[in-house]
Amino acid sequence: MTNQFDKREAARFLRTLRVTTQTALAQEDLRRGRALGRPTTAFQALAAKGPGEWRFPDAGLMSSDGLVLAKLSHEPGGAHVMELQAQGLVGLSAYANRAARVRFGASLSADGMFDRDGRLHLVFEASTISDADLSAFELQLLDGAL
Amino acid sequence: MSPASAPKSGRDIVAYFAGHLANLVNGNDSLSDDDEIVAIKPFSLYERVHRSLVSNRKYCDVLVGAWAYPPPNSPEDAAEFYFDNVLDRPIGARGDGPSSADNLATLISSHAIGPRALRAAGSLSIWKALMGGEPKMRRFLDKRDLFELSNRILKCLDAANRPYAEVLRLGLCPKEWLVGDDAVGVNTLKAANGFLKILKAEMNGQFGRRPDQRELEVAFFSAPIPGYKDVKAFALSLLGSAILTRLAGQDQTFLLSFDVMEATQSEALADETDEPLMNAEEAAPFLQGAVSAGVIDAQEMTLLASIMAGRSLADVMGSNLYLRRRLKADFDNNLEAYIDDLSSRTAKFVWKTESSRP
Repeated sequence: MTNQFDKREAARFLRTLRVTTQTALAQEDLRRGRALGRPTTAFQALAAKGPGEWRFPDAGLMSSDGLVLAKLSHEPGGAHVMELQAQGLVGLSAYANRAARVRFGASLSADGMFDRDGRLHLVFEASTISDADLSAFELQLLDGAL
Repeated sequence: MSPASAPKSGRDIVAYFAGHLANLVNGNDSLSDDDEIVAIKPFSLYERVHRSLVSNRKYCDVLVGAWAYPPPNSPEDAAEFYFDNVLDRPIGARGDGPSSADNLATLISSHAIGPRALRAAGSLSIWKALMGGEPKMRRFLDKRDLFELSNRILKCLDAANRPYAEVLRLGLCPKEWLVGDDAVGVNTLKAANGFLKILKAEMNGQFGRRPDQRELEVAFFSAPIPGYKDVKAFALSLLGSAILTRLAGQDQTFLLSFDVMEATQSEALADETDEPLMNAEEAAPFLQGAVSAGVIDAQEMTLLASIMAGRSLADVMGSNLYLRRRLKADFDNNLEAYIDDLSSRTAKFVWKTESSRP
C-alpha cells in the first residue's frame, strides 16, 4: 500500500497535516491561555561577574516577554523598592490597571496593582529579601487572560 | 536531543502562526462555541497580533527574528516592521488568476454579515484581506471551515513571509535589506542563501572567522549569484560583505542556530498545492500506511485522524489514557512537542515514500 501514493494526493495530505495540526495546537494554546487566565512572565538576571555579591543592575531587568522593566531602589531605612514599568503600547495594554503577583522562589511573593500608566511599586523590608534573591522572579497577572 | 526538547521547525511555526491568526480573527480567544457572530475590531486585533509577535518566543525568534535587529531597535520595533512588511505586504497574483490574498478575502467576505463595501483597487495584503469584510462576521464554527481559513492565511504567509525569511536566513536585519536604497530582490536573497549554505558546509562549522579563498571559490562555483561575475565581485558588494562579516562575527547570531531559520523556507515545499484540504477519510490511507511501516502506532493514527476530523486536542487527549501516558513519559507533558514529533514522523514517511516511487 505504501508505495502507491499519488504525488498530487501526497502533497494534499502533507498540506492537510501541516494546517490541521498547527491550527489545532494554536487553538489549544488559546483555550489553555483563556482557561488559565493567569499568564506568567519571568525575569532572569545573567550571572554577575565580579568579586562582590551580585547586585541588581542599575539599568534594570527586562522580562522575558520584553513587556515589563523591573528597577530596584532603596529607601533611606534600607527597604527595597521594586518598580515594574510596562514597556510600550503593547506592554501598557497588557498590564495597565491589572492585578499582579510577583513571586520570588517558592516562599516569597507580593501582590499589587499596575496603575493606569503601567507602573507597579512593591516595597520589601531589607530583612526579608536580599539583592541576590531578586536575580530571578516571576510576574503573574491575576485577573484574566493576557 | 530528546523529542520533548526538539525545537519546532520554522515551517511549522509559520503554519502555527497562520493557525493563530485564524483563531484570533474567529474570536476563539474570547468567545465560546455558542457564539455565532464575531465583531471585527481592527485595532484590537492589531494589538493582539503585535503583542504575540513581541511576547511569544517562537515568533520573536523565528518569524520576526528580533535577534537580527541591531540596537536601538527593540522587539517591538522588529514586530512592527514584520507587520508592515509581511502581514501588510501587498501580494500580487501569479498570472491572470486571483492572488492568495484575493482568495482569502473571498472567504472572509462569504462570512460577512450585511452589505459589502467596495474593495479598494490594487493588490491586497493578508491584513487587508482579513479586515476587508464587514464589522460583523459569521464565525468559522465548523473546524473544517476554520482549517480552510487557516489554509488560506498560510498560502498568503508562505508568499509574503519569504523575502523576510530569506534575509533572516542570511543572518541579516530585514529592516536594512528589504526597504530603502539597499533593498535586495527575493531571487538574489535566495541565491545568496544557496551560496551561504555551501560556504558553511565548506567551513565545516568553524564560523567566527572569514572564509578562505578556496572555500569562497567552491561555494560560488556551486551556487553562483546572478548579477556577480565571480566571488570577488560578490564579496565586495554590500550584500556579500554583510554576509561574510556576519559569518565572521562573534555575536548573537551564533547563539541562535541557523537551523531553525533554515527550515523556514529551504525544504522542498512538498505540500504546496492549490487543491482543497483532505478530509479524514481521504487521509486514512496515508495514516494507515504510516502505521503499517511502524512510523506511528495505531493510537497515534487515531489522534491524527481525530485532529483532521476537527476534534479538539483536549477532547482527544482527555479520552485516551494511552496517549496521555505517552505524552507524560516521552514528552514531559509537552503536547506541542508530541504533536510536532508525530506530524514530523508522518510527513517524513509520506515524503520518503512518494519520493521513492519509480
